[in-house]
Amino acid sequence: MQDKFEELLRIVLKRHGTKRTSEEISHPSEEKLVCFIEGRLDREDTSGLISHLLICHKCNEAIALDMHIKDKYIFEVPSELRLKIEEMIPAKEDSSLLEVYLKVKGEFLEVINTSADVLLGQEVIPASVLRTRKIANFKDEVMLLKAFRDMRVDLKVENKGKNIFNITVKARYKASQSPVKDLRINLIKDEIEIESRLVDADGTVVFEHVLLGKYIIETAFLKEHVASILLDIKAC
Amino acid sequence: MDDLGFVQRCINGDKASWDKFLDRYSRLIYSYIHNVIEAKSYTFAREHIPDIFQSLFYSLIKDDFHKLKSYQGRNGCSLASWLRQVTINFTIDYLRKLRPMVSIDETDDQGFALKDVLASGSPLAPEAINLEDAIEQLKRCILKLNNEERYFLELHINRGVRLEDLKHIFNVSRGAVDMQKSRIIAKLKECFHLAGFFGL
Repeated sequence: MQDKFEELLRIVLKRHGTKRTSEEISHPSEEKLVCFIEGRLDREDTSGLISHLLICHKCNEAIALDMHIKDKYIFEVPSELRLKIEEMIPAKEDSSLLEVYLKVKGEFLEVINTSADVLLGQEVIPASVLRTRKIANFKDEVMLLKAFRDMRVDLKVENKGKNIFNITVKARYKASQSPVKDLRINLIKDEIEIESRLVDADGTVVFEHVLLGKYIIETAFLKEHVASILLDIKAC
Repeated sequence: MDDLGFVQRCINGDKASWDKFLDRYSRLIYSYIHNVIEAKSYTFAREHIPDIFQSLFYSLIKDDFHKLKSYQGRNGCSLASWLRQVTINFTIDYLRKLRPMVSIDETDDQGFALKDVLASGSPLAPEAINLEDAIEQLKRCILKLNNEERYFLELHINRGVRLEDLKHIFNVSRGAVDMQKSRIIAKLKECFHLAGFFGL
């Protein structure tokens, strides 16, 4: 009896279920769909998404397929296909990215990970050496230095308390030590540009009252990207 | 290094990072394309797999890595999970464009023939006329459920998703999922019976 009822249910749902996707409907991001499948969305987002899924065949199909084929078969990529992908990707050897991962511990800033050099007193030390010396905590502020092309960029993160920070970016030419001019520095969070400033006469920009979180600091001339700084400040 | 930092390195064109990206994720993407095609029984589409694979990578990097930049790692979403979903969506869209080429003998995943149920041997075969009334009434009963209950039915009954897999979506234990199903079926049966339909 249960099977008959479920079979009838199946007929009804097939006939009157989610409609073909309209091109005008805006769909949730893949990230949202994944979080939904993995149970990571809050109640409000889940409820909103379910309302969409009840009318959208495309997203429904994607979710059902994700659940059906998870951990199915693994196929090796043919080498000639991999080569074609490698040729397609515009990758270059030199990196123009600096990553900085910090953690706030009271009035101290802990350097979790970075590829920059760190100013320790009057000494400039590679981050790897800091780890060897087991030095990680800096009171009130931490200064990091990184070379990009013919410039040196200094990044200072000041802990102003209550999880608020000032971020200072200063750019100078390596050879002459003169400040870089006409450089624009953008502070970006979640793909949204929060602030955008041209450097001052000293090659410096200060972003004040910055909160915890993940930021991208883009540095660029008018027509040329120079470098990106990925700055992640977390609470303890 | 976390996934967001890794993606940023790729967006910045760091070759070493792209080598790692391909080492870590190209097999996942390629496998998922295969598995979507097999799950939909679109065997004719197997010859398109290399093109789907290349087109997907192109879609990630074109317009200054626009698609790749959309990954933000929110709510703990890993890059692998994101790429899995991107691959599924992309493959579905690609296959949908191929559909006009599908033979008329292929199964339409959306069209469900009532005649298949009315064929001999089906438990519902003899009551053809009452069946239409029953379908209409059950539809009205389903509409009385809340959204979460309706979606539960959509996934489990219509799409065949296992109860074991539903526990993550609804954030409950396996036992709770079983109870939820029983409760929804009981609600529907009560509504159905109140309208005068018995025997199911």
